[in-house]
Amino acid sequence: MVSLKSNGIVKKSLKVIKSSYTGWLFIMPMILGTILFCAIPFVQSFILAFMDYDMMRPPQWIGIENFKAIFTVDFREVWGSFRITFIYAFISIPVTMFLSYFLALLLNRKIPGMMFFRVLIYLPCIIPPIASAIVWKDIFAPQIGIMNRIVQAFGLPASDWLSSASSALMTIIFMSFWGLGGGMILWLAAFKNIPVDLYEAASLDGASKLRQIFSITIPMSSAMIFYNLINGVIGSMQMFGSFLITDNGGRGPDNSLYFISVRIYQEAFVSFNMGYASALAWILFFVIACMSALLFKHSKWVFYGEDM
Amino acid sequence: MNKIVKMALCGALSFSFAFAAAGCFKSYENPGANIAVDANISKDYAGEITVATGAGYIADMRSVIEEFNKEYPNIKVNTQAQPDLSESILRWHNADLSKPGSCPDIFLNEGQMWVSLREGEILKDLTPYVNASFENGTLDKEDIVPEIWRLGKDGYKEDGNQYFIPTNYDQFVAIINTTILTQLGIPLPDKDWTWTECVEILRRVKDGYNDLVSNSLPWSQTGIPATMSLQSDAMMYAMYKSFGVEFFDENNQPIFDNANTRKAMEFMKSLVTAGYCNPNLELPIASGQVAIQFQSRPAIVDMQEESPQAEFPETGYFTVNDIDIWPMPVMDVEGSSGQTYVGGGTIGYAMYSRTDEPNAAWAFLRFLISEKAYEVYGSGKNIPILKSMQEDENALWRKLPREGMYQEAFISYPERFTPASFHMGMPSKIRSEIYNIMIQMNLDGIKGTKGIDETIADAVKKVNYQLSRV
Repeated sequence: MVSLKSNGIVKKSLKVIKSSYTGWLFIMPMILGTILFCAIPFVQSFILAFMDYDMMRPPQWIGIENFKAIFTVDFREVWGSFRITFIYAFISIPVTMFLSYFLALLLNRKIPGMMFFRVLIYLPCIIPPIASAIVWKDIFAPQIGIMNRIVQAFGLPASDWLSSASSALMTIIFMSFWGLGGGMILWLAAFKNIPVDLYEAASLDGASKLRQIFSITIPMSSAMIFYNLINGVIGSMQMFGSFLITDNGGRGPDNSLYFISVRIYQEAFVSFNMGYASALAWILFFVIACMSALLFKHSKWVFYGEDM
Repeated sequence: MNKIVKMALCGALSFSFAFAAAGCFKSYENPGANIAVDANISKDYAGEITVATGAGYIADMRSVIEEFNKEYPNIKVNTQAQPDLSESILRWHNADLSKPGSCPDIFLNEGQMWVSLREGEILKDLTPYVNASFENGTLDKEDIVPEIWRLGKDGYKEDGNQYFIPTNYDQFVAIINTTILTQLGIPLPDKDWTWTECVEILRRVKDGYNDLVSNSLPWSQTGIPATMSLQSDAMMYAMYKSFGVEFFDENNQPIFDNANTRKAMEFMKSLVTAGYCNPNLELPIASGQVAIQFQSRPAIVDMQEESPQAEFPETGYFTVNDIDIWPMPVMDVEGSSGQTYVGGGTIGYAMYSRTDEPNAAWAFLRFLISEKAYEVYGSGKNIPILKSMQEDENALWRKLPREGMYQEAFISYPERFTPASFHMGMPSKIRSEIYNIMIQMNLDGIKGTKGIDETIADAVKKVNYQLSRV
C-alpha cells in the first residue's frame, strides 16, 4: 500500500518536473546557492550554538551553556552592544529615511540638470565600502582631518570624532548619511508609480503642493516607506561598518562602537569562540525577527496598489 | 503541485540538517602523525610542499624558493598568498580535515595568533626537528640570537616547545629627523641618551615650532614634535615594565593596580599634555613633519629617496639623508625602576600539524634562516636572527634605507628586548579581550579620558569580569 502510494507521488513528481523542467533548470542555481550558502550555514550555526567550538578542534556538545553565559555572566556586556546598536538604529533610520525622502521630493521635478544631481547624490552608493572607509578616516582624522579644519574655520573647537568615546557613535551616524542616495532612488521609483491624475484632481480641488505631498505622495508611497523601514531595521541591527574605520578591533574608543555584529565577529574570528558567537547570532536573528514582526503587525497604514 | 514543493522543501531542509550535523560531529585522522622525524633529508629527496605567506612577502618568498631549489632540486615548493592569513589558516585547516592536503604545509605567523593555533593543535611541535638539527650541525645554536629564538617557543606552556621559527629581529628605535634639530639649533643627543634628555629635546622642538610657525615650514605645521606610538602594545608594555609594572601574575590575576602603574601613566600623560605627542595621530617620520618617531624597522626600510609631499623650503625635499637612528632612550625618569625595556618582536613561519611532508617542510624552514636565504629574503629589509649576519659590517640589512646610518641601534642592548606578551598566558577565549582592555586602559590614562585611579579600577573590573568567564 505504502509503496503504491509513494510510486504515485514519484510518478506525479516526475510528470510535474517533465512538464516544467526548463523552469526548474532556471531556478536550480538559486536553489543550490540557497541550500549551500544559506540553509546549511543556518542549520550549522544553530547546532554550533549548543557547542564549544574553536574552529580548530572538533566541537563539544555543551547544551545551553552558551545561552546561559549570555544571559547571566555576560548579560551586561552583551546588552551594552545591543544598546549601542539600538541607539544607532533608532537615530539613523528615521533621520536617513527623512533626509532621503526629502531629497527625493526635491529631485522629483522636471527641471534642466536634475539628472546630474540625482547621479551626484547616488554616486556614494557605488563607491566600494573599503574606499569610502579610507576617505571617512581621513575626513575625521583628529587634528589634521578635513572636518576639523571646517569646524575650526567657523571658530568651533576641533573634535576627536571617531577617536573619542563621546563622539564616535554620533560620527558613525553622521556617516550613515553617505548612503542617502540608495533610499532616494527607491523613493523616486515609488513617486513615478503614483498616477498623475491624482495630482491633477487635487490641483483642481485647490490643494496646495504641501497638501498634495501629505495627502497623495506620502500615502501612495507608503509601501516603499514600509519597505525602506524594514530594510533599515535589518541593516542597522546588523551594523558592521565601524569595523572598517575604527581601531580597537572595530569596537571604537572605550568600546563605544561595539555593535552586536562586531561582537559576534570578535567572538568568532578573534577569540575563536564560534559556538558562543553562533548563540549570539541566533539571539540577534530573534531580535530582528521580533522587530520585523512588530512592524508588520502595525502596518495597516501601508497602502498597497491592489487595494485601489 | 503544492505537495511536491512542500516535499522538495522538506527534503532540502533535511539534507541541510544532515549535512550540517555531519560536519559538526565528524572525527578526523592525522595523515602525517606517523612519519618519522628526519631533520636532514638527502639532497635528492623528492616531494611537494606549499608555503602560505602574506601578500607583501610573496615576491621575496619566490626568490628564497629559487635558492632553496638549488639545494633541493626535487622538492617542489608552491606558494599561496592571502591578505588575512589568520582566517585563511582556519579555513584551510577545516578543508584539510575533510580533504587532506588542502592546508599549506608551512605558514607565516605574523601576529600573536600562534598561541591560539598552538592550543588548537594546528601547529606542529618542531622541537624534535630543532634538537636534531642542533645535534647534526645543520643549525648553529650559538649563532642564533636567543632573545628572538625564544619567541618561537611556547613559554606560556610548561613544555616550552618550539612552535615556529622566527625569521627576523626587530625592536623599537628612535628615528630622528636631524635636519629639524639642526635647524632649530638643538645638538644631536649621544647614543646612550636618557628619557630626561629626550623630553628636553622635545620641549625645545616644541618651542622652536612655535617660533617658526610664521615661516610656514611643513614640519612646523602640526606643532607635534614626536610620534610615539604610545597606543601600541610594544611601546606601552615596555614603558610600564621600565616603571617596574607587571600586568598579571603567574595565575593570570591582575596586579597592576599600584603606584608604579600610576607613575608610568603619569609620565606618558605628561608627554601628551605637554603637546610632545598625540596618541591619536600617527604621523610618520617620512612625512617630514615630526622630529622624532619611536618605531620599529618597517617605519624606515621602505622610505623613498625623496618625498615630494614633504618639501623643506630651505633644504629642498625631505630625503632619507634627513634622518638617522638612535637606540631608545635609557629610562631615568623619577619613579622608574632604573631598568630600561624596549619593545620588540618578530615574524616567523610554522609547520602545519597535519602535513604529510614534515621532513621536506622542515628542510625549507631551516633554509629560511640560512645565510643564503637572508641574501634574497627581503633584500635587506629584515634583520637576520643570526649573530654572525647581524654583526657583519657589510651585511645587506645595514644598507637600508641608506648607508651610514647608525643601524647598530636595532641590535644594541638585546637584554632590553621586550615583546608585548602580557596577555599571552591568558586562556584563548579571553586573550584578545584582555589585550584590548590593557590597550584601552593605557589610552584612557594618557589621554586623560578618565582620572588615572578610575581608569585603573575600571580596567581591573573588566579583567576580573573576563576571568570570570573561563
